[in-house]
Amino acid sequence: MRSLYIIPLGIFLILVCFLWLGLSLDPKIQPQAKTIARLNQTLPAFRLTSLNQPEKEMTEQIFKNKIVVLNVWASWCSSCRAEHATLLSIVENKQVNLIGLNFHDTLKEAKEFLKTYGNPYQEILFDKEGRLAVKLGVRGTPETYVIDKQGKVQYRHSGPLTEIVWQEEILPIVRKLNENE
Amino acid sequence: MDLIQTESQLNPIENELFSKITKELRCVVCQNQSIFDSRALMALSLRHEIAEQIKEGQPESAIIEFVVQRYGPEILYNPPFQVDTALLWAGPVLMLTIGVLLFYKIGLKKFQTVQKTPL
Repeated sequence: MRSLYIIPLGIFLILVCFLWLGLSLDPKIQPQAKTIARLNQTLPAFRLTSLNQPEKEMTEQIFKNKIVVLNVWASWCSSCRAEHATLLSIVENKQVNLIGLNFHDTLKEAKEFLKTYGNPYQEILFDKEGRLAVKLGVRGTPETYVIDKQGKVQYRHSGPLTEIVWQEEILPIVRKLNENE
Repeated sequence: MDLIQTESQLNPIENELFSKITKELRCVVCQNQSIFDSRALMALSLRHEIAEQIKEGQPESAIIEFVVQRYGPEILYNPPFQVDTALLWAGPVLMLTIGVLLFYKIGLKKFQTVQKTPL
């Protein structure tokens, strides 16, 4: 009979474990952030304009027949400023097509940002309303995607891009995609 | 702002559907707030997309599916009953059953002991 008293204690300990696990999670790290986000899915159709040439219409065609690293950024995003040096060094040293997706920004502020910190992007999609961002499943800035020649999302990184992430995660994927041609 | 404009173009029936859907969805960047309540940029973009899809005549289920495909089932305040959510749904019932059983076992025994004890 005495063993029955252990059951509530056991349940209590299990609940404590769940609570402890829950509280130890970092709310900034999104669950399944890498697995969801349209992995292996073709990019959605979109119609945006170019940040540098507002009269130029940009569609999913710009991703056709090339491996692209797509970086979601905004001038108001401090983490984007933190990763900017990495982006500049990537395009300086390596052969990669870097396209920017400017999210919820103004033309003026985005251009000023690039003027101050430098422009690593070949082309920038101006997504003022976050329409493409929502279709991609973007949760916040910055985010970085690798898109293959078929226009399929092959990788997603949430948060600032560091040299380590680039070397250890993204570059091997880009190389593998290049080999698979 | 352009984003809010799309919402204001909805007719009363569409607006009702809009409120219903956005109240069911968790804001992905803020904790404990629905997309309906949130004014975070990501929530505004989602509201805009949902309003657009409603205007296009998309049914509720298709819109929910669109969002879940992109943000995962954790975006739903009311997640469907499936293998990975089984404990979430069955947990309270399970706990209650265990509690009742324990209460019955321990409580009844004590009650009987009290009754058997002569005054």
